[in-house]
Amino acid sequence: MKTFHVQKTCSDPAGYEHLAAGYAGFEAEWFEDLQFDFSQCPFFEAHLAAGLGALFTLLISQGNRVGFRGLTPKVETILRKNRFLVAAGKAPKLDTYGTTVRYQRFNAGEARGFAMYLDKRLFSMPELPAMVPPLRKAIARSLLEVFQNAETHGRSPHGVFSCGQFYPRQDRIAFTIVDTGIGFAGSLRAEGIPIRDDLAALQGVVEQGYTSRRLTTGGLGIRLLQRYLEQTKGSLEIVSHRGYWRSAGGKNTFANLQHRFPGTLVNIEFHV
Amino acid sequence: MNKVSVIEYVGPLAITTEDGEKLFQLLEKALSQGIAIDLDFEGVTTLTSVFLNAAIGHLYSGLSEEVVQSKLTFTGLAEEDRELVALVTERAKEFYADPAVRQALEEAEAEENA
Repeated sequence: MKTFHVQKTCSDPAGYEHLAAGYAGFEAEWFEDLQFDFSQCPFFEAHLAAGLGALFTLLISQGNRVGFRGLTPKVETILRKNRFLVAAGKAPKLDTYGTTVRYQRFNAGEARGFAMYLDKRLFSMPELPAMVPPLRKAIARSLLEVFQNAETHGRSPHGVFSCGQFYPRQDRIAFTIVDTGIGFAGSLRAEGIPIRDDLAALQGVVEQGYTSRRLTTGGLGIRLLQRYLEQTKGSLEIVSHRGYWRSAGGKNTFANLQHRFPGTLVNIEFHV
Repeated sequence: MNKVSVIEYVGPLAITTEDGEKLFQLLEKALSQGIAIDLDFEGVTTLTSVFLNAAIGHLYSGLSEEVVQSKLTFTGLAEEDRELVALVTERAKEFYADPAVRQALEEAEAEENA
């Protein structure tokens, strides 16, 4: 049996680095018993369950048995409320505050299913303040844009993983969408665009408008997302393998991760 | 003016490439024969750039800007959707005017015909 000790994990570079490290530690394991020990984790940001789900799916695809132990009551409660732990055999817990958008895995080609999931799980949340139609559309479009990019460019064999959380005291929705695909660099290289590394790929797409589209128009994704984020005073973070990018308040921040996240993780936050 | 209702064609969710391509087939055929179309978005609840790229943006790959803009009109669009259509259209015009893209398209067509 091999163990990874999960620490406090938030949606920030340290949190993403930690998730990537968790996978990197087990990446070479086959048919092994792998345990994620949460006894040193007082807090796990609920919507990052999408990232955990992607990692577990990858590890399971190598014949590994993946389990959890040492969950604190607080962490276990939120991961049962958003149904992440249901796949591990735990009973779901009623989301009495109505603030979780349940963890779900989608296959490629399920954009309509994702749109219905947003309607049913996010926009119907009792705690969510009423939104003017343009704001609701901006949020729906942003999330669909991210989902469809994951489907089209990610080329993930394991689908797209999604999870969200509404924080009523901050009037903030946080949503994480993850794929286990080829990343920005892989997508650009597949179209013959020479890319030095993962960070260069992100910078190329964000700052120079690089697109993997060669024959059909498109490539508005990042531009549209940034526009919608201005409208919703939100932020966007993308982890693509070792590259990290954050966009908030018109400012871009780039960084390298030490460990390689096995795909692309997008964390998007809106104020409502 | 011939009205085409998007919701009748693809439903209230105009979001996928596949649905955009369905509409593209009709629009491309009609416009290339000089038939004017009014694309009605009344009742569409969700509209994405992915759908619009496939349905409308792609028209600029084979048809002139003049033909598309004179023969294709839009109704039933909320202001924010109208802006999205404009962005997609501008991007498509820019994309298909790029000499590198035109060359890639010609090469792809030649390969197909070979």
